[in-house]
Amino acid sequence: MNESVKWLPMSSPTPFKQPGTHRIPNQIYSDAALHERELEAFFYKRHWCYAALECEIPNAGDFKATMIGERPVIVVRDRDGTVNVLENRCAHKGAKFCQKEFGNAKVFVCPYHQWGYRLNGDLAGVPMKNGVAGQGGMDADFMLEEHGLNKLKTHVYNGIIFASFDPEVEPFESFVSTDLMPFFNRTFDGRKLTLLGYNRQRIRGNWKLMQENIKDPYHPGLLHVFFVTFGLWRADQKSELRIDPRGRHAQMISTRNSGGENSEVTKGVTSFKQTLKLEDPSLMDVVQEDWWGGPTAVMQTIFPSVIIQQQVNSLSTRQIIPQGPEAFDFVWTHFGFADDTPEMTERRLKQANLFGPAGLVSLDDGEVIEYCQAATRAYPDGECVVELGGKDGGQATPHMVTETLIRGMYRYYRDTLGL
Amino acid sequence: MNLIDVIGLNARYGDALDRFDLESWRALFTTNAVYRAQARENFDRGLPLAAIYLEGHGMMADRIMTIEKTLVFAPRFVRHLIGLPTLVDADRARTPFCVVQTVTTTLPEILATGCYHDTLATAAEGVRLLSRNAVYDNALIPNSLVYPL
Repeated sequence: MNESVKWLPMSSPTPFKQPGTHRIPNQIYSDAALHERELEAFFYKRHWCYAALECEIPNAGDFKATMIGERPVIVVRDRDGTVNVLENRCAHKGAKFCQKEFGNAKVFVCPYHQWGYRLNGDLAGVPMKNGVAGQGGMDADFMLEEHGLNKLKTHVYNGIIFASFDPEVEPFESFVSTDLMPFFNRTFDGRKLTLLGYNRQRIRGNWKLMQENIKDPYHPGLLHVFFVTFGLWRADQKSELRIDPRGRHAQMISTRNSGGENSEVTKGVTSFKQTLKLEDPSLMDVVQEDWWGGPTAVMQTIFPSVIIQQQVNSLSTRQIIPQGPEAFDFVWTHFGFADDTPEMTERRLKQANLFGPAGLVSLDDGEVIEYCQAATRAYPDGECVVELGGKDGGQATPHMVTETLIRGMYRYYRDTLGL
Repeated sequence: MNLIDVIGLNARYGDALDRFDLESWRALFTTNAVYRAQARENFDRGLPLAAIYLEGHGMMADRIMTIEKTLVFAPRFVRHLIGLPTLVDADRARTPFCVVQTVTTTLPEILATGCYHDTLATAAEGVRLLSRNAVYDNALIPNSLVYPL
């Protein structure tokens, strides 16, 4: 074996070896320089990124520390009720001044030199500004108003909070696109949300693999034996895929059936287990909710930072926080609605067994993403084949036997990065 | 119940899980017992979500079935290192734990570290768990939580 593995030099115009996006170069899952370009182009410019749910910070002064891309930020409710998203980075020495994940604050004070900030990010004061006993201090031209925290553009939409480092970012609804707003509004229609809790996992794979995973309706009925066996998600269901015109966001919309045998989707599917039975009905104790209006599952990918899940009675946002090119943190925030009965809350909590790091239909996703990372990094010249349903560049379909949404995302990816 | 009974229960608990003898694990719970594996951030803030939430032997059996028959995961060993219990009152105990996992040929890593919050009952066959909440300090799980903590 004297064939050495070579990275394409950065002077190379593109790692893609041909037009289109039905072949994905392995290099894009591991390349550090490309990763920096992705952070800049997708997480820090021109995109709305997920920050929080309003129900996480209900009262004035409530804050939550989170990340946008690889940058720490704070989401805080100001005294007048408005929501601010601020960089968690002191304007003085750059310290990540807020170390608590959640809390309530009247002001933020950096512990290093006690620069103090208001909840809107304005610098309220700095110690020894005017010197001590006539000595030292800041120059007369030091202006507090020039040294506030960077404040992100923030959009609160029916209980969900997005933010952008880019003051020129397009309006939120045009970012999501008119094609996708109806199903976005189906979950977030202005009803008050309730917070159920968090799950967090570190997945040692490139962050785009998780976006791909939820743009991939090919795998659930194959990888997730639980899904195909109990009929929550499989290829013979009534379903459709939606995608925004630029190809970056998508929705997989599906209506469950009764499960069991169907020769077209279960014959030859080695993962199908006809004989499995649940001893307790709790995991599949699905109750139709009026707001569904038909579909039992809607999985939304809002590029680049979040997945919004409705799988029967379980609801969550799944935030993607990159950790370099080869890992990301996946933060699940489960929620319900303020008018849920105690029985419905209990149902949502029991169905949460299906999701998160121990999820009966999601644990497998983290596992196979690590399998993909482990081998693609070792073969950077290789390519992934994304040809189910053809070679189009991403389009809406009335079925889910296709990888078109992944092709759409990489059309946008190539266009945006100039690859 | 006394300290030795609880230590014995925990020894059998860890031994059953580390040998993948999940039926013996289940048998250490009463029929209607509740098992949770819950992130400490949820526990401390009174948020009800748990990564694993099982009520009764039926749901435990379903979790065992999915681990053994439907879930896809890389082979691994787990090792429960369970500390000494503190008896909080007549039927409640707190016990620190650390679970180390070794996935295929990679280096061992800490899967979770935390504290069992237990309610206990004395049955004919010995001390059993009426409820166990395995509250793990690490908010982040290294990818997958396959076996109960």
